[in-house]
Amino acid sequence: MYSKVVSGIVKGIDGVLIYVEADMSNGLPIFEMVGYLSSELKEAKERVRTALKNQGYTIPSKKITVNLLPADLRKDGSAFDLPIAIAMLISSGQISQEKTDKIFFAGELGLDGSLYTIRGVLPLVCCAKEAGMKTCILPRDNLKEGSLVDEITVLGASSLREVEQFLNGKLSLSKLEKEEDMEEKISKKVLDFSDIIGQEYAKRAIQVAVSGRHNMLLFGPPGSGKSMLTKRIPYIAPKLTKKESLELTKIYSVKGYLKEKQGLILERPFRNPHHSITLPALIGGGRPVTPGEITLSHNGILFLDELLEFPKNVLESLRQPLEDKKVLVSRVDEQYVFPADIMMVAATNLCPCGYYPDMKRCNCKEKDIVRYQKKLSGPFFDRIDISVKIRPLSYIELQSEKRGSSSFDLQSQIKNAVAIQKERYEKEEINFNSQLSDQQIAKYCDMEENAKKSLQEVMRRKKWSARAYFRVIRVARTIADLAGSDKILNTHIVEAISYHFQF
Amino acid sequence: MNRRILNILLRHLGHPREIYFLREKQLENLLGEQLKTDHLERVLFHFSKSLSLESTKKEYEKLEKEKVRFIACDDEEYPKRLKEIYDYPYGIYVKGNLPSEEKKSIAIVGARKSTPYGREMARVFARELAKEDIEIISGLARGIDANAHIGCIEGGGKTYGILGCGIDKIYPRDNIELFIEMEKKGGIISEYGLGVEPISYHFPFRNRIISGMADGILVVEAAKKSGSLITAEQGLEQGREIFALPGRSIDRQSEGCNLLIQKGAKLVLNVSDILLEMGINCEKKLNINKNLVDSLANCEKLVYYCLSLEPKYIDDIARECKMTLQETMSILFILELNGYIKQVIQNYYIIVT
Repeated sequence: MYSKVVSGIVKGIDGVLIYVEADMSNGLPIFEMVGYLSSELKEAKERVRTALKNQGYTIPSKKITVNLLPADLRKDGSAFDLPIAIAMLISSGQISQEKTDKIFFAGELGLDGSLYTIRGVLPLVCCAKEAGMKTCILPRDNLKEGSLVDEITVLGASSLREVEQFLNGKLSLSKLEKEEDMEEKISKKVLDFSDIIGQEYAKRAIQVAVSGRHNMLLFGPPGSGKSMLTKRIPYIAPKLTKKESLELTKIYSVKGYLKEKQGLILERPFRNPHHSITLPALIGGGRPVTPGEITLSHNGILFLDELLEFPKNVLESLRQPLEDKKVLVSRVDEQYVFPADIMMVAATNLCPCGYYPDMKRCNCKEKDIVRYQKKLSGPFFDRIDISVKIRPLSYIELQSEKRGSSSFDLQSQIKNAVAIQKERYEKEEINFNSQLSDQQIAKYCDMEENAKKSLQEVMRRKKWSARAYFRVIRVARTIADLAGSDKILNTHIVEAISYHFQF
Repeated sequence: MNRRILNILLRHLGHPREIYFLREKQLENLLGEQLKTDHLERVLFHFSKSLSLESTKKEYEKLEKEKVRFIACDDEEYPKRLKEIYDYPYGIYVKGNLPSEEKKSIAIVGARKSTPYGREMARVFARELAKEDIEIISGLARGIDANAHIGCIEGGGKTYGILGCGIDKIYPRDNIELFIEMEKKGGIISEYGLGVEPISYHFPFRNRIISGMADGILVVEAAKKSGSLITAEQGLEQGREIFALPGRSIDRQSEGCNLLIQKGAKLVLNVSDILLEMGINCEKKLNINKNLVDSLANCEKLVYYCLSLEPKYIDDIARECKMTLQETMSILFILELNGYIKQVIQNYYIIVT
């Protein structure tokens, strides 16, 4: 008999509906699975057969064919165990087809018939809802994640038998238990800028960078505080919107990074890949195609420590995504688009040992220093809007009792600046000043006379490129927003100029 | 044909022309005992290659094209000061001019790994000496050498650079503009032929020419094992006057200079200290032009006087002057724009003298 059951796969970070068909007919008893399946998916055959037997179901010795529709889309993963088993039960007359109407199934089966968790639940449930399904049946431990989607019933089961019994009306399955506060308690370990003594200039630069989502470069010797400062950045940006949270949770779910029973992600991501990372791991790719670190930092911070230790080709691969705010991964049969609207923070030294220009501690040979510094230029650095030299605290600063700016001090201005940008760019496709195109700058960045003069003078003397010119204006626009000023004043331009990377 | 071989041959034959007419067998006899077999083979190989009229003509034409003159030691033009030293080079390649025989010249040298202080001092001293019609000689290296040449040109004087490689090899590359300017505002000199690479082994030899062409040597900044100390040593042997700028007693970068002073080099605080030894009477002080500073606004003066030749970080400036970051940034911007201060590296400021 013919049967059809609804399931899905994750392509990139979105779900795609897949139909699982099963048919039993007379002929030599063989079990075939078709439909452009990956090798690990083909293994489902053994799991399903054994699980069915161990749960007490008999499958007749007939010719069994299972097909996954559509046949030209490559399928992988282990989430098809459950739908295949259900389809086979329908085909052998043990469940009637109508009972599975408008139900979406997904889950991995152990040999004993227990249901195990799968990845990518959030995008799958979203796609089920969009396709008009009314119910999702998932492994129990995936309930929390699945229940994040409204307007669809999400039920959890712990074994194949429970699902069959439910479909035959003999058992009910549970939704998410108790009115759990969906607001996951934000981890107590909040890092605060007041942990850092002094470094006012750096803190201010960070405040500007976060407000306009400008990419930053911190340079200074080891131990000067670059990592410490960067780790605290996610905590001063405004909270994620529901939409941003959902999108982020999808991404992490697909990657399998959601912690056990974790619900919505509420904190901005902070990713700190080691410089030995491979190109596909950084921007996305691999087989199957999954998002990279840059997408995992979406709406958060991507911190590249020891920037010059990253291979040149890896850094090059970042150029396009930084510009487009998304990553395009092309394969023979598909194209995947992953979001990548990030704030990038890079840290580096000025010489191999890291202590330049402190001649008392720098032991490098002069030619090594020059060779190292030659790397600090090029198209990558053209995308850095704000750069700051960090140095270890002096004795006087360490002694002082004042703590300096705290996260709280920095936050409220940032919130206002972000709100101003949201309003200003409502009709545009951008969200932040750093994303302004050269044409848009003329429209939104009105400068007072003195500001224009200062900028012209500096451009003339230091022989800056047009790129540098526009970059400084974008940063100045953010500084003006922080001050609540509509027009860009001279002090704003002067500050923006001080952040320009000069080497 | 390295110097040692040249010397051996000249000793035996007297005149270079004789070398040209040598037969291979004679060369082998002369050099046989002195050289190892494989070295001997290489020399013989190059000798026979270069002996042809063809290759000599080609070499000559190359020199002409690059506008390089070859001046042998028995030429009129050969610098007299250089001839005085023990192992003067047989011949030198020159682009541009040679230092004047009448004017005094000072060689300015220092560590390659220089600090902003060292570079600034080299530039200022060169500039002020140039204003007194003294010519400046140095090595066209990065850092102190380059700044000495630049300072001299700023002071309107002539400066000469001695290279450790062929004149057609611009090393280091970053100095290319300086090279071009110095062809007109002085000259570039080398003992090495066209195409010779800048190998580290060449530099001590080149240093003897730097000191050999000068009347005095100023060591601006040197660590304990700096190459510029070798130049000073050679200068001493050549009978030149040695000057050194002192540094703080604990500064590693000035340790070499301080040791030189201990050993008898003249401690220099001002340009006039050098001028005096050169027989020029002049009261010159390395002073900040008071008038220019007086014209600054009070808050600008405050920031200016907070700075020195030691790079200072922006946070520290704001704190010491008790100003907000924004105020400090605005003032630093104006001072930098008007040339009172400059950023040695980002966010670190020093005064400009």
